Amino acid sequence: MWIARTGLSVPDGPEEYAKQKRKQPYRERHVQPGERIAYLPKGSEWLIEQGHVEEVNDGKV
Amino acid sequence: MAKYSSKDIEFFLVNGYSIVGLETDFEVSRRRITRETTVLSDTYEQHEDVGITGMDVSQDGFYDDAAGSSNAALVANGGAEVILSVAFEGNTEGQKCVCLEGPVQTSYQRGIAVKEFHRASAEYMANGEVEDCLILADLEARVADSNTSSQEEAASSTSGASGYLQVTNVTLGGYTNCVVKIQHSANDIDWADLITFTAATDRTAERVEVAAAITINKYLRVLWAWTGAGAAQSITFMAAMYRIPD
Repeated sequence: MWIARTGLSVPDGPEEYAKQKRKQPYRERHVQPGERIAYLPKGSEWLIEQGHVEEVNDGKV
Repeated sequence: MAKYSSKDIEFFLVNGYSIVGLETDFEVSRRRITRETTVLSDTYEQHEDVGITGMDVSQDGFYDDAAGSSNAALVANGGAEVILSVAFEGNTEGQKCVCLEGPVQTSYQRGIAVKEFHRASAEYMANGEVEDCLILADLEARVADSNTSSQEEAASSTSGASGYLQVTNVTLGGYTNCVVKIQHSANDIDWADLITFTAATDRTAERVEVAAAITINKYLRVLWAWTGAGAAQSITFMAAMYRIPD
């Protein structure tokens, strides 16, 4: 699991991430600082590296 | 490389007032300030750069007293910093526009001559940089919460940036306000807020700086979201960003 430290817009689950990769209309989830994030797609390590999210509980929900 | 002409000046915004349809001339001059350093025994005059860049800005156009037009845009700004944005290359996302960092309006002249339409002109003195910005959201009316297509720049940077927002019209339709943000991304999938402008309720303009040392990723876009509830809402705005090169 992750905690947002910055306002974020992320795909709202694996299906939405897959849709985004196929460039189909997909639904984003808008997250405020302090909110929990249960799903981060592959390639999102930059959010952790730049301090936009903080990993807690080893990434497990 | 491409050439552009006056037909490509698709927006001319002063503090949220759109007056492109009235302007005929606009000039931005950047100049390096030098001082004479000629001394005895010199054969030729000498000048040396003191390391300061100056800026002179002037605009000229037709006088119009309609609400939100040239007179309203210029008459009350004497001595005040303004936010000025001009699209040199068209009103298109991904194109450049020039935005001025808080120049001080030093004059407003109404010109009257026989057999001529009245003129309205203004001059500004430098109070910072001329910033060649990337248009992230072109000037157009927008309704429901959404975002623009992303713009990919060459690379990320860490030397800071300035974001500009020019809101020319807001119809709240019962909503409390509309929040416009510039977001950035390293992968064009997840987006983090980079700049959050002051919530807009009416015509407004704002410039916000991003401090150096913060990583600004290569993908950029603009997101807008309405606060509260209502119907038939609309916001017309332009947003752009200048990335300071590393």
